Amino acid sequence: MSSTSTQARGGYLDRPHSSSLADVLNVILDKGLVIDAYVRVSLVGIEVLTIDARIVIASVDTYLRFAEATNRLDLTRQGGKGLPDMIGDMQEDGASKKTKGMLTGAKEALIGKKDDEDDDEEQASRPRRRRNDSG
Amino acid sequence: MSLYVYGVMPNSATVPTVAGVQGETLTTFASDGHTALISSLDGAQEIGTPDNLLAHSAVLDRVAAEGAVLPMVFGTVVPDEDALVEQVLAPRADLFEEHFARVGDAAQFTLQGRFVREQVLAELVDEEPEIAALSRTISGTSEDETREERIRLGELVVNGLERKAAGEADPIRAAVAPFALEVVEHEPGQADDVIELALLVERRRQAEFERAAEDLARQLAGRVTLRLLGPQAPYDFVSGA
Repeated sequence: MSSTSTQARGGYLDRPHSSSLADVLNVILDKGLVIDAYVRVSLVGIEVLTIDARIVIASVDTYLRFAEATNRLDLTRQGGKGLPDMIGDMQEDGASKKTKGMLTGAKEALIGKKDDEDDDEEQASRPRRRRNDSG
Repeated sequence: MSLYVYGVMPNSATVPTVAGVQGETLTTFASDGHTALISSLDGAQEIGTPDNLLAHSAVLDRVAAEGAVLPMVFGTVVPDEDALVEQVLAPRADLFEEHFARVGDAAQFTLQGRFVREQVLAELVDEEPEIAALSRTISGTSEDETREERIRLGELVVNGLERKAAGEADPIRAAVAPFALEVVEHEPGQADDVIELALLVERRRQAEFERAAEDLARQLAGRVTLRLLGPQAPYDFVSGA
């Protein structure tokens, strides 16, 4: 406690007391000294995120989410749906999954997936969709 | 009974009173000039669980808050104390010294900058006529009806975010880098990420670094939110072993 209670907390900087699972996955997993292949256990039960982040960002799924977010923001500014609703919806993508306690949940939080029910169907079809007619 | 190995510390280091992997009590084992931070491990139980991963990082970060530690990669296990000496502490004593010389009395901090979405999306709508037009086009339509327009809109927005991030990242880096011995930049994980930096900060400079980060967060408030993790073990600065 002594180490964390002395930290500066002026209010603007988000300063979590401890790392969340998503933080640990993102910042720490697979980093550190590697002693020898044979003394290192395999990470049973952990689905390690090895996807290049740039590929995820430049995905149809990401595009569709940001199109929806932009449109809803635009409507809000014109006096439509309340802003708090929109922000809440957007944050759910990341925040709710962090509390799941499963690594797959955190993995999805990192890459910003929507609900599982959606994904089973849409993930299967989306990568096969053609994007080359969009430009 | 195997041993879980968190990291290596100088012999003078003290053991934190936090629960380790599998809830076990932390102990140390010293040999060849260094001290391994360990706990006993029930090899029959699965190690690679989220709880154990969090325990691994919590232990190392707690140690790093007080003094130097070289983190092992998550999941480092040795069968017994003999193997710990023969495979880890004895043959790598020189390597550990090199790492301690590099890391010194410093801890890692991870600084994450992310756009305030509603703010930058509004900017993009105002700045780019095509974004505004496409946004109107998809209004009140289903995803199937305007799929191509949505993909085009999303692509423009994501590209716009990337462009804006490039402009924001430089001043952030410039504001905090002078407080660090070394800086490593991480790949962005999401489209609205601005920057993620791992900074190796000496303990004597920690307070001024934290003040600088707070000042920066205040300047950026409303457009970019800054999140600071740490002190952490120097995960990004012991690579290449």
